Amino acid sequence: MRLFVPLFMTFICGMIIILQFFVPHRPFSTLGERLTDWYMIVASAAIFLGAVNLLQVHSARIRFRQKNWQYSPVVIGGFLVMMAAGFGWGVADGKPFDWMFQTMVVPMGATMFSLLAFFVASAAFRAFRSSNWRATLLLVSAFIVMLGRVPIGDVIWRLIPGAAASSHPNLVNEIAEWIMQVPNMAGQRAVMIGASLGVVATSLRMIFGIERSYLGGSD
Amino acid sequence: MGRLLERLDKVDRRVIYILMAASVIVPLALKLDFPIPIGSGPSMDLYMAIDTLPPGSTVIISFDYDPSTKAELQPMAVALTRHLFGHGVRVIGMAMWPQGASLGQQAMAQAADSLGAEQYEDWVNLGYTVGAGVSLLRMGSSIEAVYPQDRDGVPYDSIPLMRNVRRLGDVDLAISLSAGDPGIHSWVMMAKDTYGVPVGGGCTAVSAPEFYTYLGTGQLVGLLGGLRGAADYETILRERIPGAPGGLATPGMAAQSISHLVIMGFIVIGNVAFIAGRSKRKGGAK
Amino acid sequence: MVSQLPFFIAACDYTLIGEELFAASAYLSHEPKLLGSLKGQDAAKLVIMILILLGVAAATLGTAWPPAAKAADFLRLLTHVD
Repeated sequence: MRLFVPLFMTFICGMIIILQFFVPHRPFSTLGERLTDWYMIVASAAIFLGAVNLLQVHSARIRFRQKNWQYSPVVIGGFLVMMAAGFGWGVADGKPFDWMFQTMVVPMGATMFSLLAFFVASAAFRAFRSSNWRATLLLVSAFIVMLGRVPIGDVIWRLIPGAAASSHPNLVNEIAEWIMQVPNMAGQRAVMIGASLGVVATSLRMIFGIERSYLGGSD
Repeated sequence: MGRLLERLDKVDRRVIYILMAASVIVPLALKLDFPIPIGSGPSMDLYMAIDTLPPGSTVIISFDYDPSTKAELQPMAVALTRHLFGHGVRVIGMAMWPQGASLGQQAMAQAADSLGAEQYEDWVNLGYTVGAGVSLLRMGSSIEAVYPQDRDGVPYDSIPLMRNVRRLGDVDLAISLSAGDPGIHSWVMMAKDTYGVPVGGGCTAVSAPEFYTYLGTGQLVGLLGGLRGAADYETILRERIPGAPGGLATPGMAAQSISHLVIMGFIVIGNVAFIAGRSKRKGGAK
Repeated sequence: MVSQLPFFIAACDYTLIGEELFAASAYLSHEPKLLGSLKGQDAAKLVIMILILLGVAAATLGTAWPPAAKAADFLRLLTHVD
C-alpha cells in the first residue's frame, strides 16, 4: 500500500496532464487546470521548506562550530532582516526591502558572477589545449566566433587593404553568424533531440512506476 | 626560447587576473568606442517583430534572470521596454525567477518615467510565479488563476490593462529574457507551440547557440544573444528612432572586445607552450 | 547543461554529451530498466532520422517535381506542432 498509493497517484496525474494536450475538452481540460493549480500551491510551499532548511543547516553549523561557522550568523541575520523589511514595509519601490535589494543583493550577485571572467581566463590559459583534432577545430571556430561577436573583429578585418571597400566589409561577423546558424544549429538540434528523448523516456518510466527513485530508498 | 615558454607555462594566475581586469577597466575608463555594424540577424528580427506591432498591442516580458546575469540582460530589458513604450505598446511584466520581478520593475519604471507611460494603464508588473512551465500552461487558460493580483497587491480585475487580457492567447507577443531554466525553452514549449503566441528571446551569450534551433524553425521571432545582442538593439534604436538614449551595452562592447583579444592571447600562449613542451618530451624520449 | 559543453570539450580528454550520459549509466550498470530505455530511445531516434532524411529528400526534389513537394507538405503536416 505504501508503494501502491504514490505510484497510482503519479500515474493518474501524469496521464491527465498528457491527455489534456491531446483532448482539450472536458473533463481533461478542467482536471488539468486543477492539477496545475495544485502544482503551484505545492511549489510555493516548497519555498517555506527551503527557508526552514536554510535556517536548520546554518543553526547546526553555529551550534557545532563547523568549518567557516562564522559566516552562518551573517546568513541568518541577512535572511531575518530582509524578511522583516519585506513583511513590515512591503516590497514596493523605495521601501527598505527594495533599497537593500538594489544596493546590496544586486551588486553582490553581479560581482560573484563576474569572478567567472577571471576563472575562464585562467582556464583558457591552462586547460584549453588543442590536444586532438576535435579540440583544435573547436578552438579555431571559437577564435572566429569570439572575434565575430565583438566589433573589434571587423575593425581588424578592415585594416587589411581593400577589405573595407569590398562587398563584405563585416566578413568576420558574417562568418561567425554562419558558424552559429549552420554547424552550430545542426549540432544543437542533434543534442536537443537526443536529450529530449532521454527526458521523455525518464518521464514515461516515472509515470508507469518503473522508475521509483523519486520516492526515496531502494525499490 | 624554451626557457621562456617554460616560464610562461608556469606563470602565476594573479598575473592573468590583473591582465584580465585591466582589459576590462582600461577601455571603459578611456571610453573606447568601436562601430557596431547592424545587418540582418536575430537582433534585427526581434526589432522588426516589435516595430510591426500596431500601437495598442499587448506584449508580455518575462524577466527570467537574477542579479548574476544582470550585466547582460538588464540592458536588453531597458532597451526593449523603451522601444515598446515609445511604440505605444502595452507591457505586462512577469518573472519566473524570484529576483527577476524586482529587476523587471526597475527596467519598466525607468523607461515609463522617461516616456510618460502610466502604470496599470500602459504597463503592469505581475511579479514572480513559482510554477515555471506549469504556470505558463495555466496562463494559457487563465492568467488570473496564476496572478490573482499584481506584485503590489492590486487585484487583477482592478487593473485596466488586464481587462481585455484574460488568457495567454490574448497577448500579441511574448518576450523572455532568460538566464537559464525556466526561460525561453518553457516559453517556446507552452506559449508558442501550445497556444500559438509569437515568442521572442534575450539570453546570455553562453546559452545563445542552443536557441538558434528555435530561430531556424520560426519558433522564436528574434533573439538578442548576450551583451552583443543588447548593444545591437541599442544601436538599432539610436539609428532608427531620433533622440533615443544610449544604454550600458554599447560601451561594454569595447571592454568585451579587448578582453576577448586578451583571452585569445592566453589560449595561443598556453597552446604554444604546450606544443613546445610536448615536442621537447618526444625529442627527449628519442 | 548544454551551454557548458564547449568548456568541457576544450579542457577534458573525454566528454559525455547529452544522451551519452544515459547510455554510459546503462552500459556500466547493465540494469534492464536503463538498457530498455536506451533501446527505446534508439528506436525513436531511428524513426526521427528516417523522417528527417525523407523530408529533406522530398523538399529538395519538390523544387522540381510537384508530387515530391506534396509529400514534403504531408511530412510537415505530420511533424508540425500547433
